[in-house]
Amino acid sequence: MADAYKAPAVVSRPDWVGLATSTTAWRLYSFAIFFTIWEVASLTGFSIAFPRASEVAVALWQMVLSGEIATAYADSLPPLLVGLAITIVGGVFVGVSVGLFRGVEWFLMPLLIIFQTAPVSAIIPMLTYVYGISDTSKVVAIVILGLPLVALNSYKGIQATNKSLLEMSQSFLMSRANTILLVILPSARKMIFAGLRLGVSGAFIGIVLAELLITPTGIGDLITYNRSIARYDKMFAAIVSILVLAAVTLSAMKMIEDRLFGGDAQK
Amino acid sequence: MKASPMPAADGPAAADIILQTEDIGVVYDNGTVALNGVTLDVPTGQLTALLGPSGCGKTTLLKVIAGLVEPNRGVVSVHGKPIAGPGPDRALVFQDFALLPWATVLDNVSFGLRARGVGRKERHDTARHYINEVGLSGFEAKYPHELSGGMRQRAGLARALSVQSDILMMDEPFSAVDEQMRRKLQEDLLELLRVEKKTVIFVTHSIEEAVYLADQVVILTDRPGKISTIVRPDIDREGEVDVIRRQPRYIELVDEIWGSLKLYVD
Repeated sequence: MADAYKAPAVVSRPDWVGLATSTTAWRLYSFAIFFTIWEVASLTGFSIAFPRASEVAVALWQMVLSGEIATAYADSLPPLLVGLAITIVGGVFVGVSVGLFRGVEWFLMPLLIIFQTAPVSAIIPMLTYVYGISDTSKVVAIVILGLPLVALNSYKGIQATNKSLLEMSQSFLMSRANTILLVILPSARKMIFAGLRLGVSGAFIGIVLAELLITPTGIGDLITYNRSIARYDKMFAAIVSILVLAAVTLSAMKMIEDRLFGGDAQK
Repeated sequence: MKASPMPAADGPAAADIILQTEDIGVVYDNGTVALNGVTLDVPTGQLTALLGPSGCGKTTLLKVIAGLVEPNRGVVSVHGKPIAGPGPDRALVFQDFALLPWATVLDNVSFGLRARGVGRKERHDTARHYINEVGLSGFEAKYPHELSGGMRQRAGLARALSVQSDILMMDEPFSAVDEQMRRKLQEDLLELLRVEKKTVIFVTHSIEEAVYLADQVVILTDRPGKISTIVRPDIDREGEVDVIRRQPRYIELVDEIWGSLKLYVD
């Protein structure tokens, strides 16, 4: 009966390096268009608070040379990294537990939904009362903005596991632990990664909000200070720097994801 | 298809019964009665088909036998011992194949052996043997989405065979593939079962498929699901498998079963 089946045309795997390079090229291209439009629009001079793109680029370069950027990130990065680590590890752990265990779901699900839907940025100023003007406040702000997104997506990924695969695993006598490891987690991994990317975006929002609203240090302070002295070119330069950092981080995550799961593109 | 075919007319002796269901009743949470008092003997080494219109509870009955659905009343026994959930004596082939999309054919086929704690090399060797037996050699490293429907079901069949259970259960195994592929798979299944001595219980809504494959056709009717009749197609299966469909007895039986079933179809 074997000879009735001929191999189908070889399904070639996508060239991941090539694909990543080409999307990177596209991204750079869109950046170029964006800054061109910015440059042209600002030439009309409709607002003094709207500097030209080229002025912002020069200001950014000067701030890098003068060490202002380095000083600001020395303040911002440590809490950002700690917050990101808690968001990623904690978010996946919470989401997976909520998805797998009834009791945890009953206990934590309402909290997650509240944190996801409530205007969390409104409560960020209140963190000062508990944690003062400190790095802890920043970390907490990052975590409350990022972690619920990671957790909810991980939870949805776990919940979306194909019921038929679960029955299959059960009928072949796979243990619960191995079913989680071999069926549920692999099936949820794309949703988990999508959640991680949302959570990292949330974390960046968290650090900037915390530094703007409660703890005037780091990159947030650079923005606020330059606005207060009307150095809009430097203000925008600081904003652009954090945008670039966020974009680079998210692209890196996408590349890690593709590298990890590239070989088994699903239907 | 077996070395010593049972005489068609009389039922098998008690010693030859591998699996029994006794007065199985299943009521769904919404109050629907899915099965009501199903008592059935499955003879060792034979093919039993569960046939009936959609919604008659035939898949539910198979899941009860598989240990995936706990009946509200009644007992399923294998070798005279009541079952408590799925067991190593039964392996299931799924209607939707239930293959892990992120795993290769080889890893999918060895899934059941992995559950049983068989080491990597040994389970891959066993899996390769059954992949070859179902005609999938050369596709070990492929992913399910790279295979046709028929080939996916071959992988599902190889997975069920590789755990070497006595009883093979199939839930509408060929309903998700096209007609030509279904015929080919049916013929290949009969050929395969000449080598692999298995007791097979399969669910189908196709009268032709039931008569063609089965030694015992259990006809279920719906509302509530219970056994209407049991037909033992006394068809000569010794010769070439494709000759079976041309036997007058085959055509007669298909008509007869349709006659009894069409009362329930509207």
